[in-house]
Amino acid sequence: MLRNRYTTAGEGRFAVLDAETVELLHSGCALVVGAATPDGEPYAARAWGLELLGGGERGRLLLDADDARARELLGPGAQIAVTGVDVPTLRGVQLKGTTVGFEPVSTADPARFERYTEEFIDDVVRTEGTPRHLLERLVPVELTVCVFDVAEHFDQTPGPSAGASLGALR
Amino acid sequence: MSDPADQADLTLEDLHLCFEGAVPAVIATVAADGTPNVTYLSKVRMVDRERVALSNQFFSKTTRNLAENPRASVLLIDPVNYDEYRVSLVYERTERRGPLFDRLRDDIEVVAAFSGMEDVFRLRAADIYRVTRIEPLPVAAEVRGLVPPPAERPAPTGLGPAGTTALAELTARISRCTDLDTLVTVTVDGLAAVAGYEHCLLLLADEQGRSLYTIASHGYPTEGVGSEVPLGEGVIGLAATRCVPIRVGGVRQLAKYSRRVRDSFEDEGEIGPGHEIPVPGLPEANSQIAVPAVAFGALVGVLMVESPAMVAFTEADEALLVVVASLVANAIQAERARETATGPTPTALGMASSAPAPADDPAAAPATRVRFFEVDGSTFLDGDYLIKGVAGRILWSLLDQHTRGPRRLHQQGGAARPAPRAARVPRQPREPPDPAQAPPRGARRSRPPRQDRAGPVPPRRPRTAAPRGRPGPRLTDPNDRHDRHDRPGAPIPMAIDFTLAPEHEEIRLRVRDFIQGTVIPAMKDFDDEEKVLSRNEYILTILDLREQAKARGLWLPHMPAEWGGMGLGHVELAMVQAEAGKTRLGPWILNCMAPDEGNMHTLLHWGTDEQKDDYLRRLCDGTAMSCFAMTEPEVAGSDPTLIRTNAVQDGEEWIINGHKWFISNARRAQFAILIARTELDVPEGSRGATTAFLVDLPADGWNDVREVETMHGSTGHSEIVIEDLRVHESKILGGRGNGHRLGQARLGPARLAHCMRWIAQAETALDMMVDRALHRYSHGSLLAEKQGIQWLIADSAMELYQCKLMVLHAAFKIDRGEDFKTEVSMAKHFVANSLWRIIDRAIQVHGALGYSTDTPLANMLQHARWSRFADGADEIHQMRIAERTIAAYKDHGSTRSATGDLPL
Repeated sequence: MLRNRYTTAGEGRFAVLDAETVELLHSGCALVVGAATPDGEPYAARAWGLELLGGGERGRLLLDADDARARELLGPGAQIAVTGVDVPTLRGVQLKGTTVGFEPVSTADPARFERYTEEFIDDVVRTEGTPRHLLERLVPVELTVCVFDVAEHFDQTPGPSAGASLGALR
Repeated sequence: MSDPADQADLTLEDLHLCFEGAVPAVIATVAADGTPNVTYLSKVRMVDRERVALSNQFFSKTTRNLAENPRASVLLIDPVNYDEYRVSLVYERTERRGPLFDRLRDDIEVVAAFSGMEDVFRLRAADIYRVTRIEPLPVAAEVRGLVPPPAERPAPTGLGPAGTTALAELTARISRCTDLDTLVTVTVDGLAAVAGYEHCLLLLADEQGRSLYTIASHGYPTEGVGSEVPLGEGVIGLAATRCVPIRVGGVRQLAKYSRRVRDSFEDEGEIGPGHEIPVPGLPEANSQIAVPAVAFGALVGVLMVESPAMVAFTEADEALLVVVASLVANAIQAERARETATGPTPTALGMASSAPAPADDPAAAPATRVRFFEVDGSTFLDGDYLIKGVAGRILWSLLDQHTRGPRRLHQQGGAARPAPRAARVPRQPREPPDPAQAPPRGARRSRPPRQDRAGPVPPRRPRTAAPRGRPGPRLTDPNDRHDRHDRPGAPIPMAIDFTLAPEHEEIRLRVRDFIQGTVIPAMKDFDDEEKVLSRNEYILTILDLREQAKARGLWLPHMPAEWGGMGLGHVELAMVQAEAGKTRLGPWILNCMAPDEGNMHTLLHWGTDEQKDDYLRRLCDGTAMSCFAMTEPEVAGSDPTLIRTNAVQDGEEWIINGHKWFISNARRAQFAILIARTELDVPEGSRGATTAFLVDLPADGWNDVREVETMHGSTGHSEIVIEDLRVHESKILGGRGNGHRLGQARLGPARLAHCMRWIAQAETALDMMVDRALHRYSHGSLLAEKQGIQWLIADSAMELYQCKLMVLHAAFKIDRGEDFKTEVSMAKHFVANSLWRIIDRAIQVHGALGYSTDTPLANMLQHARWSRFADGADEIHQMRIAERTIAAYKDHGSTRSATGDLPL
């Protein structure tokens, strides 16, 4: 006879992204953002730094301020996808959530942007042999900050597990 | 490009360099509910002026989105100037065959060839999209006038329009060559001097069609003459296998992507671990073209040029090299045909001579006479045929080097040394040239040392593939192989020889001696009820046997030497397990029993240094035992994604609740590897929902409520109720969310280890069956003389033979780093069922005695029943085998690759 004492204790969401994922997304990983128009047309753009707050519940994404289309599509309440891929290892994570809106660049953001850009370009130069001056052509001049709440994250590492859910946050 | 307005009316042709695959693209899609998805793409291919194709490899979410909403947004970067474009696409159709599919498959095979994933990394489908808009993206700093835009668009560094002139000059030079040696030299030097290709390799195919050997090179700090490239491996090997030019504009990016994918497959347990193997070439190459040299429909060799620059070559370079490769191939074939028609004359034979004894001691040994015949590369030692073809030519070249003495082989850099020009493609049987008469090194040509000598080695780029370095099974002489795979693009498998290397045969015999001569006699008294000794004596006896195993170096056969193990490969391990399994305690005495064996592998692969120092060290020392707690009574054991035992984080601890059963060894274990669900709101079937925890035992909340009674009694399979068990986060094994992957990776080789032990049991049963048949007399003859009994014996012998071959072949594939899933599934299913049938037949031959407990057969049969559902029920394995067989047929039009991928 089975002694089934399985319990449902512990239901509910877990609170945060694991430290390794946060570290990856805070690094100079290759960041891209996905958005959608109201009628469902996709839009892709690059991002230039990500700060995760509350252990990963909220993100502050640095975007090119000149990208008016991104600003339009990522207004408050929009759905957002952000993928970060570690340049040397290609380990990748995708966050999905809902935007809170845009906010001005903080005093700490320029340094974050500088650090991000330096790490990203260094990694690409080192691992792929791309000339630095070419990569610098991608870098924006002015930034804006898109704030979003993270709902779920996914494995985005190339391989058979790509796209697998790593867990929901809410 | 500073002003996007200048870029109006762009077409895909304007973006053609974006499709070289040198810079990853980005694709965004949107689900029906408006949720976007964004990910990277390794390559986009241009189909025509209005369409592009994407290879469908890992796009599970992208594919689902496109089924709901056919639009996509793609970011493309021109690798030459880093202009960026946003391209809007609408999905049109999917192709699973045809020319376009074949081109994308070629792209995928290039990726696979970089890291030996030909068997697992395959194109599923080619998705075709229509382009609706191309938007050039501004360069912010240039738009704002902070930096000036580039004066003009940089061009690829390749040949360009000068190609026609260069081709004419090269053709003239090649046409003037009067012998093959000159031909290969002129070709590689000419490619540099006339066409500006600074790094060139020319390789010849061997007669067996398995490998390519470098016969000439230009532009490397050290030379790779003699270095080998197996067909199908890397850009060179793939060009030879597919007989099409392969051009890669971003080698480093592609190699990185390939390694990542391979690692992911390994992490999933879908392929075995690989190791780094070298291939010739620039270590920092970023562009390569490999062109097959084909003449009269046959592959002669491969011409390869490479550059450290990205996208250094264009279609014009490719076209020029195709012509040059064809010229060279036809010239080589024509020369071979001419010499075949002429034939070696007695005079020519008379020209053969001896290679002298080593220069440092010429009198130490009699000289061996080496004769070499240019016509087919055949080489004779003292009149005995040794080898021919390219291998013969390489040997001749190396002997030539050897006779020149080591000093010249070890010089590096710009040090002057004679050029070993002889015997690259010699014309006639001849002696190794006299060093004293060797010409000085040519000014333009670099001729550094051979790769297989001490000192400098030729340029090599590491790549991942194939097996861990271990002697393992030996490969047969390539000259003995005549069969070939007919599947297009398929790697040509090696012939298999399961003969153990002498040192491993010696180990197997020592294990046999120890088990038969020491363990079985020592345990005999414990099987005799009249001589039953106390439990303490039993424990002391088996502990003493363990110490003896350690002392004899027969400890941890499955673990590497740095952990105190014997460092055996899976083939050798199969043979050791088969010997150890002749007695139930054998694997335990050698410390290679389940579940500790699998847990050791798991800790070795997934554990942190601290976890290894603690848990793995104790297992290896034999001072601790462990269990693996995954199976649950409420959900199907064959589908561990359904696990319900859950863990909830509370500060630095996790609180675990749940229910496990059939946890083998739980009552003896000092710790458990416990699989629990940490991601509670993920969809059913998610493979990232569970996490592995190391749980020190005993522990509050870990309640071992009973040992489950089974058809063979109560033997250590516990039911565990877990209530508020607290585990510190530092005890997570393998990272959060990796519980399923860890479990599957553990189970692959572990299933085969079970098979090895089951084979030992089956062989014991067959031995007993035959022994009984030879001694039991009935109805006028021995049972062994009766046809009905002979059929039982014959059927058992045939099945056991199949079991052994299947297990050895699966182990062979694991050791070679090849995909082994299907073979392990087949072996696990077949051996488990054969075990049952063979023991049952043995009982039948024994009659009432077999049914009694006076022989071990009844107990063996009881134990054997679990093998058909443990570690994946029969039906699960059958389902997977069928899936892979059907997929093989769909992919290749043949089921061959799903039936062992053997050369039959």
